[in-house]
Amino acid sequence: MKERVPLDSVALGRRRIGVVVATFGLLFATLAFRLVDITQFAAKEERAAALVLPKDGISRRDVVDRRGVPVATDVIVSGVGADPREVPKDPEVYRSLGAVLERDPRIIARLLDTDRHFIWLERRITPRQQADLLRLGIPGIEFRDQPRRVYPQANLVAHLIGQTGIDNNGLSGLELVFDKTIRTEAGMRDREPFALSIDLRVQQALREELASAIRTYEAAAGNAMIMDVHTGELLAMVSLPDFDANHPVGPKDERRFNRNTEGVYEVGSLFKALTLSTLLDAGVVRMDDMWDVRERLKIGRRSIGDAHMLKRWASTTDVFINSSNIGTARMALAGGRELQHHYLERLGLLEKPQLELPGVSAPLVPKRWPDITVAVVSYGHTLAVTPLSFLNAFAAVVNGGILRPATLLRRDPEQPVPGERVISQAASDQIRELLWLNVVGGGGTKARVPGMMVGGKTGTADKPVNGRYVKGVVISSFAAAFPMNAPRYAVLVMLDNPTANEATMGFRYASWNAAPATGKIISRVAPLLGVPLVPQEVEDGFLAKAPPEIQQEEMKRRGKEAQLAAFAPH
Amino acid sequence: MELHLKAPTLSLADKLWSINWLLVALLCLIGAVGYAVLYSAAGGSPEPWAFRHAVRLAAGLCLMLLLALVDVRVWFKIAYPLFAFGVALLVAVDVMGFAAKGAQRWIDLGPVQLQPSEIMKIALILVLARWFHPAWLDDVRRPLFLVVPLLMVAVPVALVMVQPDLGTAITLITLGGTLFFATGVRWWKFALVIALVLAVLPVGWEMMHDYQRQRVLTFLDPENDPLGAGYHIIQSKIALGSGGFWGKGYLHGSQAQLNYLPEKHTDFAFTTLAEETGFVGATATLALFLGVVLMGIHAATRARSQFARLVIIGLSMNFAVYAVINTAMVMGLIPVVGIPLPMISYGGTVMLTVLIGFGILLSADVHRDMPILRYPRR
Repeated sequence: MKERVPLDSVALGRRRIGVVVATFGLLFATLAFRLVDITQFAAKEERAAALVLPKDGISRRDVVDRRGVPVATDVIVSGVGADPREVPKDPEVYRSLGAVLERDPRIIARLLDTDRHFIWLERRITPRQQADLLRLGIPGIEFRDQPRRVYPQANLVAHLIGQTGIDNNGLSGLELVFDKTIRTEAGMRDREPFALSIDLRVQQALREELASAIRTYEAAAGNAMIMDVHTGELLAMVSLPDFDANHPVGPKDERRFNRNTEGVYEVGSLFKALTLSTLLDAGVVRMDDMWDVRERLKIGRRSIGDAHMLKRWASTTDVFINSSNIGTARMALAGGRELQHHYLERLGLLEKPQLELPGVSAPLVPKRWPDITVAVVSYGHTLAVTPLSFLNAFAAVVNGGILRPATLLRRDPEQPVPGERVISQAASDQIRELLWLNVVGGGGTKARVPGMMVGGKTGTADKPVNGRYVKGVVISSFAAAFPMNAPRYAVLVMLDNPTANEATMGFRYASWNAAPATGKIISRVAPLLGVPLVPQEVEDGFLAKAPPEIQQEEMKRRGKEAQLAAFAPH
Repeated sequence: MELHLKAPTLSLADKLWSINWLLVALLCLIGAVGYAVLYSAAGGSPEPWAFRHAVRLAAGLCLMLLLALVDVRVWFKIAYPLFAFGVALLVAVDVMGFAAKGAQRWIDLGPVQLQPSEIMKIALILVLARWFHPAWLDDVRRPLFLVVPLLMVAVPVALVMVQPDLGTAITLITLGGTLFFATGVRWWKFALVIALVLAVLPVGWEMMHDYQRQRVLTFLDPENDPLGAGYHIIQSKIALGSGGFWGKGYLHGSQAQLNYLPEKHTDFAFTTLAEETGFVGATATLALFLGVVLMGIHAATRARSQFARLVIIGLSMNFAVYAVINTAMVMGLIPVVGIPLPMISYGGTVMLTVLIGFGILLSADVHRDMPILRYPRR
């Protein structure tokens, strides 16, 4: 019989115990390593997440305009909470708390019916409420100071700045997009403020003038922007109706809608400025070309007409300053589909514009692109874009041909943003001249500002209502730049469904509402922006190249102005 | 043969002298850490958790010391009956749970809630130790000899899975596996079992309905469900990470203090601790646990009887499995299985069973030189 050796099993058992010890040592080592990993290396992300709700609320940097005027700032407010375990369960207590906080005592009672050690009763209370609560002397009531975001400019930049939540976390607008940048450690309020490209003085002027235009022309709504054409900085962006950033309206509320970035519109004849500049760049159109605009242009089963048929051959200048759809469509068709598509793409009009706001809309691009589409897109129909996209492209064609991304942040003048050339300097010079002529003797004369050499283009587009164009319902707009000898700023004004009233002599056209509104805006903001008056010789030099009838018209107007000035009271 | 006729007895003083007081001190220290954590989790108050924790700790320690004085042969004798009792209780909760159409893990005895799965952990250790005690190495190497202990593990595991309580099932399997290993079952048998399980898994997976698979997936990876079960672990990792090296300071952990961390006083107590005391505090706590486990295993190496050695290993392992699973869970290394951190998390049942376990462990250690008959009734 084989001998059984119990000691063997003991020795083996010891070896095995060694293995067990090693295994558990390894397991604990793994845990310690994981701890290092979590607390030291992978910690940044998690620490940032923990910042979401620190005990005393989130502190945020001030947001200021380009000149340092506050747009958003933190103030410390008191909130009242309670340790429910310490608050006496007494209806009288609930009643007196309810009375001070103006809340139903039953709700207070329900809030306090928990075994948590802290609950908020009211996040923001007034000093008077705090004093009243202290006087009540209820045990377990606690006050906690927390930063609260306030927007001293109320409505002025509400669409841009957005809002923060109850814990001062960014919820919308720039507060959301730059949430991590704007957040700061508590007690570090003196950090450099967050600067926007907006100039609040300009924003204020633009908002007032837009509101005045909406009133005067009985429009349903409106939007306007002013952009530095050389840097892409937006100096002002207004969408009306708007709301008070301190009392934000619900997400579905119409006032919440930023028409400049969220709305997409067929901008109408404004687009002719882009079409013409690109065709001039491509060499398809020259200034001395003549175009047949005698009759409606038939394309397939459809035909294109002009609001006022010229019934003659028209020069390139005539086509532009008379805003001829037929002429523009002929030019575009001469260039062809690929060329049009190429330039639209270069100008960024076929994709979502880039801006530091959440919820910027992509354009509505037609799926098929037959000749009729080429024709109607040339004068701003079928292709619907955000006003922002349009203004950005417009700024590029007038600034010498360089497209730069639009921005709401102040750019360092020392570090120019590299742009992308979209049209040649020569083509840009030509379109500048045409835009200026249009204000001197075309559809934009009401946008004229003496000494500012405003150039611009009107657009009156039928507005689709529930997918159908309704006669008489239009979006009337004006895109301008000044001073046209060396453009610095571009302006876009859009009025939604203005009424044909006495102020417009019964017209609904942009030349009667959006154009004069733009003129008033420019005359107000140009001094704020420090744009010097253009010397008379410079303007005369431009005028010398203009067609004779425009020269005559301008001379007549100057005479009239001189007479008026002589009689004006000083 | 006189060696087998009458076992030696130890006087009370001998017993008290041979208690491993260092181990007792370490356990007291861990319990004190638990008090501090619970005090902080309540926002700096002994109510509602820390005070009761202290009372339970004191009562549990007394019970543990009493059990430590009990002759180890008592455990040897009651191993089989206790195991049968545990299985009966598990069946009872399953039946009750089935009747209540929900998961049921405890039996309500009025003032005390009896959690049969906790009793089963100790019973399993005792019964396996009892089974393997008389075995020669040759016996252990006979596959047929292993059928009974395999069933001893499989039956309670199945009953616990039905509840369903994956955490306890894993613990039971680990305990069983460790004891098998410690008795000298060959390596290849473990490999074979693991290979078999892996081979059967895909087949079972194929046989399941889609909704069943979904349940399994959610069960295994709660982070798929960030607002539901995954919320816990995400918040826990945030809190751990925000603690950094030195922590946010005692009573200053924002995540826990402001209730963003769920279960901060039970399953996630370690997170509360790590947020406030940082890497340093968390590692020190882990070291305390490791110290206890190592002391336990050291005691096993000096035990003379196979029964005592296996009991000590099993109970140390029980404690270690709690600590490892809990801390690994809150650090997001393994899925959330709902196992508390012993001696630190709030909860009476676990504290009681852990201390009873240590009572038996100490008893086995105190009586380490006492021989136990291999074949008592031959």
